[in-house]
Amino acid sequence: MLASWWRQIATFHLLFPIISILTKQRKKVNEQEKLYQTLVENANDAIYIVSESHFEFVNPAFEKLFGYKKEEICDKNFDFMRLVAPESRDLIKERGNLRSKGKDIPSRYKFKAITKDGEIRNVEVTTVNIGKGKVRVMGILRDVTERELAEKALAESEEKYRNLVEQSLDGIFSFDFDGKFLSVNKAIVDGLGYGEEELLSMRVYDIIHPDYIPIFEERLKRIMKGDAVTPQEYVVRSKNGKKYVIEAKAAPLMKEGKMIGFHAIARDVTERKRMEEALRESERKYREVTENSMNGIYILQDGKFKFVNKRMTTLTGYTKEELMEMDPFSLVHPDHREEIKIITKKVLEGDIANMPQRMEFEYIKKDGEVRWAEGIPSIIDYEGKIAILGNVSDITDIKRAQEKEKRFIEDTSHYFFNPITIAKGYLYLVYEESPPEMQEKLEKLENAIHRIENVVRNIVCRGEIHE
Amino acid sequence: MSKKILVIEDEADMQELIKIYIAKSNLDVEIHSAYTGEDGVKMYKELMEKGEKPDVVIMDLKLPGMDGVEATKKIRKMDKNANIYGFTAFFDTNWAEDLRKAGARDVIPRTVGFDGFANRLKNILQE
Repeated sequence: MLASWWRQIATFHLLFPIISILTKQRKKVNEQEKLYQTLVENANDAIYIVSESHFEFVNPAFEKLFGYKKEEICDKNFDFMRLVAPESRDLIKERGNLRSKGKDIPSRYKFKAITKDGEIRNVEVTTVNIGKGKVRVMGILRDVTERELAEKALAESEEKYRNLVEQSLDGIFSFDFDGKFLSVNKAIVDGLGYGEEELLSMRVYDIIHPDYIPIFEERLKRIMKGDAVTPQEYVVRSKNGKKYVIEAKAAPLMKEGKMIGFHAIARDVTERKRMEEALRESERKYREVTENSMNGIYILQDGKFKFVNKRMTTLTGYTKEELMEMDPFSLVHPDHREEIKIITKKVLEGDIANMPQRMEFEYIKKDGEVRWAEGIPSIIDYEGKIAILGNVSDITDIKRAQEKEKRFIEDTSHYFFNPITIAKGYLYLVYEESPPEMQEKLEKLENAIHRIENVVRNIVCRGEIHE
Repeated sequence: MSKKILVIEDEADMQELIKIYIAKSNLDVEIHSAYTGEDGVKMYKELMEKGEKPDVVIMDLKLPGMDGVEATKKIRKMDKNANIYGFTAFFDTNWAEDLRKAGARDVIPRTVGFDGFANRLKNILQE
């Protein structure tokens, strides 16, 4: 009895820990199963188990991806090929054959799936055979359609960017903090005459003119500080020693959020600079010629002087500023003002056919002196609009000389021709009443008067002294 | 009815000779003489107002005071149909041209002589 009691005690003490351990283990297994179940049910990836060509299990993500209910998919009559797009069916069949023959097949592959709505999706699958001696496969399937589209778009974008860079007429390049070239495009290679490999072994300092290095470095420092910089001109030397003027702008070159150097875009502006210089030179010459002209030169548009040269100020006595402000027609003497105003108006309205080649008119200086001017107008396009380019010279001295000459001619005519005419008038009257011997003498007198008349006419009309 | 001629000429001898040669040509004309430009314009105006407008005006160029060009302009301003002819020694000068521009129908050079002048006047009056 006592022994039986001790046996019972001993058995209890022996079994209790075992039962307790088994109970704990069972509880742990249940907890893990519950955990796995939660993971599978909430996974974003589609998870399935296929056994002998039909689905044993699919998770909600699988249902969502293909649009079928779990019950439909797991029905024994559901043909799993319905989930495979026609173009991938051979691949899946082949994998099934190889698997059934016990051959090794890649556990990870891609195929095109088809949803219940007929939409084709690109999927990536990872499979593992969990059957013991039979084909039972668990798979994790991920829809990579969007990712692949994004990758494709990125690849296309990179291709486009690469083409743009390569085909750009501007030089595009990058360099590290030591100035060593990291990349160069075709325009740089062609422009500088170095090979691409050669350039990539060089530094920016090898091509930039020493005079421009300080400003180059100052610019890089500003970029590193985060300042925005405007394009800057530099002189660079090509392989054959020829100098070019380029306009370049650099920006930070970033890699994984960290600045590793600079990338830059450069344009050859040598020709533009040459043309600008030629234009400046031409303008300088034009300005010198215009400013030192003995004639007044002006541009008239919209009833105002748009330009007057220095000579205009000496001709009129007004300063340039005064001339630019005043009514140009107020310079013209009232006797000529209206006529010139009308001509100017017509010309500026496009009636160029009636534009006089030259005009003589009197003008009034600032001090009130009235003088004569000759104006030669021409039509120009000034700032996109029709304008008159005037060239005026003071002809007061010429006019005075002409007046003097005119007076001389008039006086000569008056004082010579009138008496001659009167003499001849009376001579003919006397001649008719004279006897023949007197007429002979009067004829000689008439001849003498006629000679004098010829001499005077030649002086007056031709400026020549002869009969 | 005789034609009316106004001769504007400062030289008395010229005035006399014009009258003699016109008379010689048997032209039936009534001659009025003015010795300055101002007088000529005034006389033309008076005759016009009396309804006796001159048929022809003979105009010299160089006159004391108002010259022939100015006198021509003034007469033409009064009467745009005035028949003004220059009779001047300045026949080949700009001044003669100015006279034409001022409204003179023609300029007769004094070199044609008084017979030539009288013949020309006869033709003018017959036009």
